[in-house]
Amino acid sequence: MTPEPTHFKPAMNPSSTVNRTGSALLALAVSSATLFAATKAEEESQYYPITPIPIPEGVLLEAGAIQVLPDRQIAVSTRLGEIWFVAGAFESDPAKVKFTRFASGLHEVLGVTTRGDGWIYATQRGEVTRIKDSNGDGRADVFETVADGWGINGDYHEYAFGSKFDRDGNIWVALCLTGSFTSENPYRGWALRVTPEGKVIPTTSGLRSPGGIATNHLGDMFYTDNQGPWNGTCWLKPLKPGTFVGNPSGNRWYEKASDVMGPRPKDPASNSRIPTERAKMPEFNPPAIGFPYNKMGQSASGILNDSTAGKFGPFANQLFVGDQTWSTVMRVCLEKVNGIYQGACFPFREGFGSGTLSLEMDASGVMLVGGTDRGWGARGGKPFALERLAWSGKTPFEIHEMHVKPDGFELTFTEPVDAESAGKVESYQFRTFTYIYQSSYGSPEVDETKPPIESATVSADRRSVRLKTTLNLGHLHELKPTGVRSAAGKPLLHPLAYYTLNEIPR
Amino acid sequence: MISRILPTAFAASVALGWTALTAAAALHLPQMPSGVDEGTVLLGELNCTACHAAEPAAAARLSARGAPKFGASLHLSSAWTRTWLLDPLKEKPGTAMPSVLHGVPESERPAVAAALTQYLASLNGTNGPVGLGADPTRVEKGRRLYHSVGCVACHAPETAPAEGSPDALKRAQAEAVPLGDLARKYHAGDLARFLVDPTAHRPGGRMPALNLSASEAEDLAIYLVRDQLAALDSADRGPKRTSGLKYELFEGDGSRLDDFLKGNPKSTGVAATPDIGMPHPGNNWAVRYSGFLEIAEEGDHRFWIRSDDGSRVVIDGKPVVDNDGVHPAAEKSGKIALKPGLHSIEVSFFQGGGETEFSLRWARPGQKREPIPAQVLSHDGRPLLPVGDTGLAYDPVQFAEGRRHFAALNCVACHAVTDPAGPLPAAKPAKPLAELAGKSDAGCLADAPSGSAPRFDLSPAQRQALRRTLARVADLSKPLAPADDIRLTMARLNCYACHSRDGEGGPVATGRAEWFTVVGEADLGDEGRIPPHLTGVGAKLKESALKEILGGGAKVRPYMAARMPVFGAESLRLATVFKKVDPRPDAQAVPAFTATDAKSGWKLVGRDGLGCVSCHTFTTYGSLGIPALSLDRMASRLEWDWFRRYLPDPAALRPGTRMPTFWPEGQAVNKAVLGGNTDAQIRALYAYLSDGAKAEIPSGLIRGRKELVVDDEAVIYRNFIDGAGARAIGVGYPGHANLAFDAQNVRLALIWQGPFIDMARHSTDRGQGYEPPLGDHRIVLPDGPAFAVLALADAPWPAADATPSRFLGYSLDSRQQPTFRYRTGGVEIEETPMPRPGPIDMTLVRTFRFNGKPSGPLWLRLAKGPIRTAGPSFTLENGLRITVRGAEAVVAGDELRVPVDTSRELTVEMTW
Repeated sequence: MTPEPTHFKPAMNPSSTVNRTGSALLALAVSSATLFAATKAEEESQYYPITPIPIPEGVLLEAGAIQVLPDRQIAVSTRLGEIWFVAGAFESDPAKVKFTRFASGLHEVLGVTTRGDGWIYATQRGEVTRIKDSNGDGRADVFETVADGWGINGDYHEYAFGSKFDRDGNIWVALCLTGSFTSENPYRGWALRVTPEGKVIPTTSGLRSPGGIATNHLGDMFYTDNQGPWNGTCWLKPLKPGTFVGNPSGNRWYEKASDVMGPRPKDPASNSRIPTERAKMPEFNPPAIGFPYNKMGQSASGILNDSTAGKFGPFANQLFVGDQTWSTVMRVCLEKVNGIYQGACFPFREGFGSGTLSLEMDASGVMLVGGTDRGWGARGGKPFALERLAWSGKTPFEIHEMHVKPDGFELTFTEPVDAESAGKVESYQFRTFTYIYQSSYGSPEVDETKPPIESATVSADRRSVRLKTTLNLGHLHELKPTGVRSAAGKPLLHPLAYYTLNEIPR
Repeated sequence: MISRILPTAFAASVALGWTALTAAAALHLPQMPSGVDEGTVLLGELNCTACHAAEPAAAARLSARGAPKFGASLHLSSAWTRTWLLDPLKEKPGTAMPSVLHGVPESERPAVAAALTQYLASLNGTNGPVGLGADPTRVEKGRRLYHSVGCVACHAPETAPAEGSPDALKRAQAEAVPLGDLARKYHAGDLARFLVDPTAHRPGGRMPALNLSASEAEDLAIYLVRDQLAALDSADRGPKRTSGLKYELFEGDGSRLDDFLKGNPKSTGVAATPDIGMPHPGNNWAVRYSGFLEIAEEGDHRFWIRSDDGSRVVIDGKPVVDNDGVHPAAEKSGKIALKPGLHSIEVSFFQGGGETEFSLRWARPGQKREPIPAQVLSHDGRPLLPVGDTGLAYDPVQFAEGRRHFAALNCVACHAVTDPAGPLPAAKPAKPLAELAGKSDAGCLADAPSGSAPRFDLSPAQRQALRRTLARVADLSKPLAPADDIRLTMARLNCYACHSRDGEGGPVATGRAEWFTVVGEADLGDEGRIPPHLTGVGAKLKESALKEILGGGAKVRPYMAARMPVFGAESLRLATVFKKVDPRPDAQAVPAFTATDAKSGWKLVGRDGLGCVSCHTFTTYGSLGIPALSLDRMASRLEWDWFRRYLPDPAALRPGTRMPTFWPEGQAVNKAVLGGNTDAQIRALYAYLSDGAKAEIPSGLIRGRKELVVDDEAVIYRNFIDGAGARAIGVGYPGHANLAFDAQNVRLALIWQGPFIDMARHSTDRGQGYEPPLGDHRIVLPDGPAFAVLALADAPWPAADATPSRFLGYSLDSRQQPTFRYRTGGVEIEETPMPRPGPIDMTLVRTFRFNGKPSGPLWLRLAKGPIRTAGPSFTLENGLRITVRGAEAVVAGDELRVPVDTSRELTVEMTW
């Protein structure tokens, strides 16, 4: 094959190879996306329309992370090591969108944020770097290593996902294992905190293959982890300092971290269940939310809290989580029971252009969704994408929240329900199951139970329903309220919820 | 003499560690699955039918294991043979060999054993072969093989894996097939020959061949007789030469031999002649042979070397033929005057890409050109010999005695003998097996066998099992249900050590899972290291594939360290039985493919379809990620009916597999091909795969080049750069100068000229691996940190992790050219590299500025290797010329070092 030079510059003579692939994928995507979109996505778009942000030819915007900047520009960092500033990303006129390359030559940037003081903080594979344009020409010229206290060895799997600043000014870095199964370099399989002074604090062990990291509305840090060894499915897991979250491959690094983490816990037993091993391991903080494999998605990715208090619709203070393979955004409602996080996930929006990876939201409640499918195919079909997701102002009929009660669940809805259908137990299909907690890859759904819904009681304001049923600790509780109608007679837009039960309220 | 050997033997077996642990008074048998009759297995393993003739049907079921053949076979140490014959049960507890001399009066036993030893030695040859060299590095290689290729599935592991459990080690050592004291028994060369094809010497097939290459078998043999090395050391014999040249194999990248021949070799070994016959990669490798050349006649010796790519011959340190560089097959020659005696010789060769060719010939004075004969090549090393072996002088009287005893003791019933003196007289036959019912507490099954019966190492429970089976001896002639046949055969051959079937056996059940490992970076977890389960294997694999695997081993899982061994006829038979038992009655026949099915399958396999190539390899093309089973071998192995059931839910048939489904709940994820019809897509895949290696290459496997072009500004590329580490910062400057800075070890790592870098690797798929520089004139700078605080000028340079150097970042000037910042020894250092193109050579001017007071004398290391001083400059063998301004560089050993005065700027010019 004849070598084809690539000019690594904005909007100039881009790599022809990538473009050819790109357009082929695009063609393919149109047909598949159409088939997917024809049903659910079209319906969803009445409430939450997706608007692609046009990307100039030659810009390979494999969006690893997104940050809204103080001037309403956005910064998009890419897997190919660039940081682009995009002006006009919220404009309805595509002509007003302007891309400027702020920095390049970085190493797979999967975290980008700022304090608004001119420094852009980028989490690269090997370090957290702060970057500034000191002479005002629009291009970064100072690159300072903030922290590099972990190891990499050249394995592609050793990704580093960086968070936004937490309430104490730390950036959290979630480090993938060396491969799917091993931790060959310091702190692979850990979450670390990087303090404002650049100190690195080992924080949580037990990670496998993170896909995103962010806080909830209370400022507690969470990350997504992907199905594989010790992960029967993809999970949203809390990153409480000093805990272990499930995959023991990285526990060898306790010896370097004993001053903050204490002694290395005994490894969990394989071929077990999470509650069984949790009982033996006080350090084990269980996953908060399971995203059932092939039911909700296949590879959980970016996390975003809706902190806009209603500007994005009825889901304020809930989490949104991407799924790269399915090119979707899911919705998560968390609660703390007996001090442990758990809660429910729901389908939210499908039909994004590429594999959903990075999520961000501006103060006006517009969600930004960045995608890439390189290395992991995605339903979206495009090699990369940047899209806006906004609330149309129309409220979808959805389960708003799902809370566990000692004897069942309480559901709240975004609209008043029709008391008759919502009060009938036949309107709900219900089952529970869990996953084997094991060192080999993934798990089938096991230990299935089908407890009856004993009663469904609609509240006086018709905003909530109490379901009485049997709960199973350590199980995911699948609820399909297909028979429930709103007061206006509409079925639920997504009659599906999975509640992960770690604790029953005392 | 015997009384002197016995205590030694005992001490040796204790020293070996595991032998003592296995010293249970019972024949060693593998674990039995439920429903397999232990007595039936014992009748076969003890070779009972050798004396007690069985009906054909019973004989077939028992599948007697047989005993080692004698004659033109393996040489056994005479000293060991004598000890062994006196009491095999004590020499090797758990052995199937019975004691046969217990009926001879104790005072006469030594003489009988000595006579038998004479007879056996005459059959096998009295002297051992030329010894393999006592090479401790081969012990280590052998140890790795022993613990990885599958030996420890049956035999005792010596060590636990890095994170293994001591309990598992104890258990595995206690439940092991005994090896006996191999260091006293065998010459390593003979043992290696045995390991390559055990069934040639032990036809019963219980010890299988593990698909070892000749050199692997030697490594393994040297490991197994490793006590011979210690014996040599204690014998304090001076160094000797042994035959062959030592070789070191390197992997790397470059265009000259010296680009490759550095660092640690990937493997080493001994080759009879330089013939590149050792296992080596396809591309990007080099080998260096070294040793002695014995010259008989004074005069000019001419050498010819033909190679693709580069090669050279060096004799007594002088280059004789230089055929270096990347080139098609080309021959060069050179001559050298040599005196009789030993001369050092070094032959090197490297293969970059493309064709591979290498041959070396010479002509002695006045002679014709010929390959260098093995007899004149040697290297340092002492030959290994069986411990305690004193050799044996032929004694015709003892020989005749031994032959008589061999016949009288009926040894020939079990041991096939090739005796040049003619057939041995037959012994009186024992009772046929069928007549043993009810008599099974007499003869060899008596609790204390009489002198005329052999005494086996049996536990009371084993005797009981045999008696129970013999009580219903007629049942042995009844046909065996195929499913039971499989269990019996798998138990007998210990297939269960590696494979589970129907929930029984397998390494997890036997507690040996931790010794099963992965080669390289397969990233497949247990699936990559534990051999596949065999539940329903007859429904999964085609009969031809089963036969290929059982007859020749399996090679489809290159990532699995354990090798599928070859057992011979007994296991090959299983192919047919699996096919009888496993296929489902409702199995679908292969559908008729439409004309476009294979094309649709091609679309699905490629990276724009389902992306099978993300994990699966195809012929010689690596996948985009892990090296999962090759696509071109699938349809020839897998039954259609299994394939169609597997794809929609892989974990159902292979629990724990990493293989995802692309048809969750039967719904196709890809709607673009064949309208998203699940059945049609799976059919199309099988149609495509049915073309095997002739199928069109899946899209995505051939990667183009994407050169990162440098125009009028510098370009930075941080990624995995070969030679500069995982945190490399590549800089391409206008004017074709390039460098790579290693931010992990904090040093300038590489400089080169011409094109900067190809970013295709890292911008395609997952971006795995290191990318080398794209240009030429590559100069590799020393490993380890550039700066260090040294107490003494000639102190050894510290390793990276011993030096607190920290990378702080960089700033860019208006042309995007970086100034690197880092800290060492309390000093903050700024380094600005700036290329200065010359008419022919390129110069990189490195300006250093310092801030802070060092904790001790601060040094900068600039180069490593032979250094020539020329005026103010220093020149290295690779042509790099270094000039230092602002300080006085010194040569310390083979390093060029600069003492740093942190109060002033330092400039280093590197011209190449």
